[in-house]
Amino acid sequence: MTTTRPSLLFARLAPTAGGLLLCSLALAACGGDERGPYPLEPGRERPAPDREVPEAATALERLGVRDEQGRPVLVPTLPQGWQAQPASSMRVISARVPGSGAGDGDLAVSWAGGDVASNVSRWLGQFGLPPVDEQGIDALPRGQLAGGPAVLVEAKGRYDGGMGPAPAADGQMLLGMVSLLPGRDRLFVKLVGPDALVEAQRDAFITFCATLVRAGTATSAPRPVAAPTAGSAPVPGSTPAPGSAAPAATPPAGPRAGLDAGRLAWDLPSGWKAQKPRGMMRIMDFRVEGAAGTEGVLFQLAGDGGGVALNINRWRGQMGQPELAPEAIAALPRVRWLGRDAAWVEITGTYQGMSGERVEGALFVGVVCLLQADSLFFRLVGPKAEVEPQRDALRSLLASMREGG
Amino acid sequence: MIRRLAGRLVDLLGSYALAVSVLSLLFVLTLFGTLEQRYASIYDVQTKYFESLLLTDLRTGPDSSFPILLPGGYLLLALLGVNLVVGGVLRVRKSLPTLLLACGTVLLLGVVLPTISAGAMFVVAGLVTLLLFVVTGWAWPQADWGRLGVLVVHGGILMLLAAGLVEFYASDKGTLALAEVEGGPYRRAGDEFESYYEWDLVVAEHLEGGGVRERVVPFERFEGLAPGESARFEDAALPFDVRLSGFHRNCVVVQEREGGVDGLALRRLPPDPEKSERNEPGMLVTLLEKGPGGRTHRGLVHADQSFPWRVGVSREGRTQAWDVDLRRRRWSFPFTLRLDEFVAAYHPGTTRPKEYSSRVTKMEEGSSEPILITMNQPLRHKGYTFFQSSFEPSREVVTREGRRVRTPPVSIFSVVRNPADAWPLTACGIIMVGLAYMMGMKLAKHMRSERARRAA
Repeated sequence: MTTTRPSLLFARLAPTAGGLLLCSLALAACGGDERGPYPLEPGRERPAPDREVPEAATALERLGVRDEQGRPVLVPTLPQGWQAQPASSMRVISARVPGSGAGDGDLAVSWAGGDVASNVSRWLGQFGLPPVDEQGIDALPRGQLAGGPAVLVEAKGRYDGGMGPAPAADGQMLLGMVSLLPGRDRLFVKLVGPDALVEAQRDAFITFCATLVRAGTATSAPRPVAAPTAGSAPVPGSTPAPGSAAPAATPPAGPRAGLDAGRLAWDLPSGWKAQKPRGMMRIMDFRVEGAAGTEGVLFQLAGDGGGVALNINRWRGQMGQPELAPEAIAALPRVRWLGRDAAWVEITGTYQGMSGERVEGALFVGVVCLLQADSLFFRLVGPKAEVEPQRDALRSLLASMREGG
Repeated sequence: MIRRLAGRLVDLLGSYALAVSVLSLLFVLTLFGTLEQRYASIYDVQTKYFESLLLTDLRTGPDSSFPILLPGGYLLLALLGVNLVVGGVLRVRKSLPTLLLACGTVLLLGVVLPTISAGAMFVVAGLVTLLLFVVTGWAWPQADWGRLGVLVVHGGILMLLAAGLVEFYASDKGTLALAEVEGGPYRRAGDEFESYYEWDLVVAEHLEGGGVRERVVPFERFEGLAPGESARFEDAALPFDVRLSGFHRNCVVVQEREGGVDGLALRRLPPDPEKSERNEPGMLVTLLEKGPGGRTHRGLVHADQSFPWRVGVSREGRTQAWDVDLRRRRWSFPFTLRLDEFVAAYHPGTTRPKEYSSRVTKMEEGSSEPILITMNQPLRHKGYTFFQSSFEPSREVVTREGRRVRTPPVSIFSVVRNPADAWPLTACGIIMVGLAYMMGMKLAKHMRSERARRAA
């Protein structure tokens, strides 16, 4: 029988263990931190993409952004006359609604936890009114807040001042909108001020709530905006209650950094017709009389929309043409559009649209105009014989385009 | 010596002590798991406590935990299964006729019960119990039928455990939303349902005819990526390789003034403590064009993105569009369901639904069948079960152009594909027969002894 002393055992095992360790380290170093390669698994063929991708969409428009607390960053469209105030830790958006001698209105947009009933009860308590329960919430009119359903709350009487800057006073009124969307935090909008002032701003308040959007979606397409309806709004067949205001069809003008597409005007060339836009990002679609296969699209993107080169080369790809070098893009002819020089490109070939449409022998006329905070794009596509005679018409359309029409 | 050790191991595995210990530990896990739901979602707790081999910590607060070493639910249930087989089937004293009759009974019930209704199940179970009495008490009373009931009951319990195992490995659970009217984001008919918790990366190629062909990177391939780690995927038919990195199970998109991708970055959030399905994953996707001079495209994808990331990739001198999307995993089912009508009844004067149901049409191989799905009456077909779980009522909305439109009612179904869907009920039927036989035999024995006592 033999015995092995611990020190001897260690001496025998150490080189082996060390070697294994070194081999492991070497293997790890060779392999890096990348796994694979693995094969992609076959998926399904679908007749059409699941979701439409807007023309030259930016990453910001696609992804949106959140604040440090993980809440969507909101972009307000302040109604005429409302004055933006500095935000604070409690208020993500703050505004003053100027009034007459009776005082101003105070608007606060904030996120908070808790259920709807307790928060609405807190507001009502500031006016000395009894609290509401969930059934009471069910009976409140419905509205739309930042793309989701909400309840509209009203209170009148003596206001105790709450936590805002408005002083305690008689003859005050509160208009509030509370999001019904589930989530860790709930969105609240509250306007408090003299009752005559707040009452006069009712439509503006409802529209403000309905047009509040997440950053990155400010230029996105028409989204449904719920009309406030009374009582059990979700019951099929219900209609808006008399007196419950609907948001204005067109958002009121307000301070905007970029181009307000709603205020864009132009003179239609002879034989051209403007049509309701069919997709996101589009401002207007155009058709030309006697040119059934031709379509014009005017669309707007935030920022530079990816830039002139990227968009023109994307268009060339749709026409089955190779990309242009930067020098060639720089040498493209220019036309005047909204007081700026816009790149004009003409591409011939077979047009293959993103939605599957295909035009043989097509001519694609594209125009890119970079503005201060947005970009405008125009594309006219159709059979070459139809599009060629419309060059001058398109130039005149662009030249006539103006803001504030 | 080895034989003695093996014998002891078998003794241990089949012992009552092991059964009691395992059941006690399962109780402890259930208790701790219930307490931990204060800080974590049910899904996370279930994964940690009941789908694990070992439990290494107990959560004592939102950000604190206590180190501990306990067997996980998966290990305990496996031990329970072994204990049942060894102690309740292999080592139990039995004669060959008893074993054969028990196996025959379990097999017969296992085949017949899944094919009949719950009401008929009671009748069949009663008849089989009667048959057992006839066989063991009248036809062949001289044979040793001891432990027949025990064996049948254990067979039923084993089937229950097997149902859990099959469900764990082979079931899919998700949701399907159908609207009364097709259009926009609403679908009236569907043959796919979506996962609650799993997300796949989908790379879609635009085809000539306007359609798309999808390729998928499954969730399992990237959910475990550590910070700084990436995974590469390739396909000979694709003009690029795909590299995934920076995966976060729950994150938001934030603006990044310096660095980031397109001025944006992903910021990690803790998993949702209440509902795991609320988690919104995101990651960095890099497309590496093949061939010399191939370009590299980098883009963030996020669960909440409004539309896929569209990338123009050069191929044979032209640019081809590819869509990259992070979306909930989808499973197809072998038929189509179309929503014909959704009906909701409300408590008077409220918007609280009292009951709701969906009239659907099941379309399959050229035939269609109208079906009513209610809250307590799911549709079961080909291993799939559709439960009426929720709905979105019709709402009147005003578009930005000022048009008033009404959204269609949307019916939401929970969908489960579980090959062992009928096994638990069948197992209950088997256990019922075994228990009824055991109690019947006890009663008969008692009556015989009473008769003998009176006669004496």
